Amino acid sequence: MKPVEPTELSAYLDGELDGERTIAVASELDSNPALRAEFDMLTANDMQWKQSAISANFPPKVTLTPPTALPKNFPGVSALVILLVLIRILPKPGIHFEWWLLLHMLSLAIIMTCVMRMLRDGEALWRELR
Amino acid sequence: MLDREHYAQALEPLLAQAAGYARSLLHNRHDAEDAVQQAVLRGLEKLHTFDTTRAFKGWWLSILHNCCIDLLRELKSARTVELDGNDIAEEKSSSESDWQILVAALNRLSIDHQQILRMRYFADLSYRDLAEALDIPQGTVMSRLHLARHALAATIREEEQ
Repeated sequence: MKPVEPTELSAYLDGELDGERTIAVASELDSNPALRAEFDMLTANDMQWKQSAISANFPPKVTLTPPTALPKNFPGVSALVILLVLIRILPKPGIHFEWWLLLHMLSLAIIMTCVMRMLRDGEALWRELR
Repeated sequence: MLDREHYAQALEPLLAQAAGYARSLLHNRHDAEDAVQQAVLRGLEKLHTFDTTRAFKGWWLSILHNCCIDLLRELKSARTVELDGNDIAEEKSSSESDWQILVAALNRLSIDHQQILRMRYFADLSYRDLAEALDIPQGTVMSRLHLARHALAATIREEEQ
């Protein structure tokens, strides 16, 4: 059987050795007082440090899901979208056709962007509402 | 792939320890809470990259560690560190908490030793989780942890003398 390495003492303490090595270390500890003394010190330190570290724990106040992703200027954006929809459906006012076409294309682009963002965020919102 | 519901379920039992780990790096509850919250959200953003064959705790703790480091950098550049009421009260009621004594000793070790001991004791990571979080083989975890423990014991003995 392979001799016990010093680094295996830590792994033995932590229960991280496989069956064969666990038996080897246990056997060596029984027959080697110096190794046993080292292991006992390791164990004592480990217990003390674990207790010290636990004293830092506390239950944090966190949310496990992100907040609903509404834009900060949501009322403003909504008003703009409504205005653009009205521009599209109301009769053409007395302006040049080219400007009217440009306005239509711009309003369509903005409406499409908003719809795509809603679809992207909609899944997350739906899950939160469920 | 892990879904959001299972992510929340996997996270919940880790939070108190995660907060303790963050506190060992950031030294106060308020910042530790911020770091944990950031890590929760960042983990959610990166959830699609998580491979379920990997150790979840180690994966998420490495995200938390990075959030703590980012927050430390922000605090240093802002040059303001405020203690919340709880920490001020703690400092007044006892000379030093046990965990603060441990952290003070840890801070005297090399970065590698600090990191592995902090993750082992404050985050209670297994060897598999440590290997995942530190991106090193499990054999290296074993040897590094052993050496780090000896270094910490020697440091504490020096301070006591």
